[in-house]
Amino acid sequence: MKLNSNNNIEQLAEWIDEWQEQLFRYAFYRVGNRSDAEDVVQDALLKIASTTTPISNPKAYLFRIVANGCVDSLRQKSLLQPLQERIPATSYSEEMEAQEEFKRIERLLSRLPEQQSEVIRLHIHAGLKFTEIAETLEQPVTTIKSRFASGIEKLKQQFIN
Amino acid sequence: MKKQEYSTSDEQIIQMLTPKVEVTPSADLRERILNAAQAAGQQTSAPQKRHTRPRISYWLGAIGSVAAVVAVAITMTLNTPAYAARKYFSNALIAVQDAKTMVMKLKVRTESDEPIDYINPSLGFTPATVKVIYGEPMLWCIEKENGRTLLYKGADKAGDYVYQWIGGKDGNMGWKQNPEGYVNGDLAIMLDPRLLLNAESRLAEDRKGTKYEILDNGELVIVRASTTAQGNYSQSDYMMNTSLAEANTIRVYSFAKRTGELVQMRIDFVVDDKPITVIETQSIAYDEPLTPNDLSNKDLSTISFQQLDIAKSASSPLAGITADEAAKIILQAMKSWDKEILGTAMAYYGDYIPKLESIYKGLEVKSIGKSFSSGLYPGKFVKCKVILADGRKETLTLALRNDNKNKVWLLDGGL
Repeated sequence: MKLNSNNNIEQLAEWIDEWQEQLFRYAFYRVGNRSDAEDVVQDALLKIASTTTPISNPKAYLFRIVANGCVDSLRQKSLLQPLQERIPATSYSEEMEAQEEFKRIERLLSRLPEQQSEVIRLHIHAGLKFTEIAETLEQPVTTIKSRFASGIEKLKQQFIN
Repeated sequence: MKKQEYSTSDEQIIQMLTPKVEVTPSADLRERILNAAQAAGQQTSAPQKRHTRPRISYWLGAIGSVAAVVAVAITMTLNTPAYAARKYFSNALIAVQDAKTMVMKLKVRTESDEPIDYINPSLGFTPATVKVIYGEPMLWCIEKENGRTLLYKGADKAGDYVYQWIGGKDGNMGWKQNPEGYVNGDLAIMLDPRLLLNAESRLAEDRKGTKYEILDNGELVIVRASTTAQGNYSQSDYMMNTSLAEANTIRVYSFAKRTGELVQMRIDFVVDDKPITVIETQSIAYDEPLTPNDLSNKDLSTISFQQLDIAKSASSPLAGITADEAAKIILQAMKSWDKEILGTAMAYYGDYIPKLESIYKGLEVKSIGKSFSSGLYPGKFVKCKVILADGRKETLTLALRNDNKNKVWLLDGGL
């Protein structure tokens, strides 16, 4: 797809309207801050808009790119040194609350293997169905269900039983 | 999310994992994405963001870097084809060893005005011509059709310079540089494919590094050599597939069976297991009548040449520091567009500087990463996130190098 075609810009706009919020919610609760989450979502949407090969399932494709983008962002974050003097202090209390919420959930998910926590994020945070997660992660749906159930069971053992 | 049936205890855990704070993207995210998409569409004919500056001394990628590709390599699996390949390379070398001139026409996947060593497998082909008069000194010209040209025609009353300009026959902006030490390494091999044949021959003799296949179709013998990318990518694969040496390549040589001469050469990058031809010769002619005036028909008096002086002063604030520190200084200078610092730091950008000023002046630095190495690049890369004066966010990967006399860090690409 060429980005300078009006039709394709319209298609991109449709994708943004349809999935932007869902993608952002997932990305935010994956990377823990608005700025990086928006960067990841923006990069993913621009990537899908510029791809020249047909995509049979754009939603799965987008979530796959965003999931990979979040991993890259977190990896880079360990290398990046923020310039404190250049980052304006946030004035949004809800943003700070969301970051606290992110940390709380991450503490829970950090007890699980990455494969299980990723399925949980995609199901609970992104709101994807198991069949959609299966397409996103390119795994059988039975595997996805099993990972979800195992993750929940492990947390249950630790927090309830 | 569709409501599913869970046990009470499962539901408790799911509730624990469900964010209690709803987050939504910024109100202008949609607009930012659409603007960026439109800008990307409009930039299809503009010069692409360069990985590195005009690396003239590395050169043109074309054949030059192939020499480097063949100089170091990996495991060879087929001994017999290697011996046969060596024979064909040696024969081709003998056939042209006393040549006085060479004219080679080729096509390269690049942009016509981009640096001569810029190769990008996703671009279309641009025709290029290499002309050489062998002697002391060797005189030469490399020209991308209607684009960037490099010319060395020896010393004359104007001085002794390697000239470079963009815009082809209508171009009026260029740079000139002292030729001392200019033609070496890869450039030397580009200008004299006999060196390449020699290097291929030696590689085949070493019997390590490259896998060979040979096909005889009656009139031609075709030697296909496959080599993996050189360089160290343990820190980053950023430079992978940006030059011939830094790519997995397949070189295909066609030799005339009757004369042994090399009649065609093709170089493919292997990207995602698929070969993509990035350079292909159209013709190679030796001993054609060629005089210094034939190297280029451009009237150099119509070009305003800026002298490139990359041996900056040791008192520069960019001397004797780390790449990370240099990146911070350069980015800070870009905010107010400090011409003193940027005049040094951006020496390689020449007439692109006013364009860069219009884009980057007033930027705010959001974060700067640690420097890293990749591939064969002699400098360092530094990732950073910036917010431009118009509010757009950009992630840049600055290429910095200080391989000059006074160890001054210069911006070599990434903008």
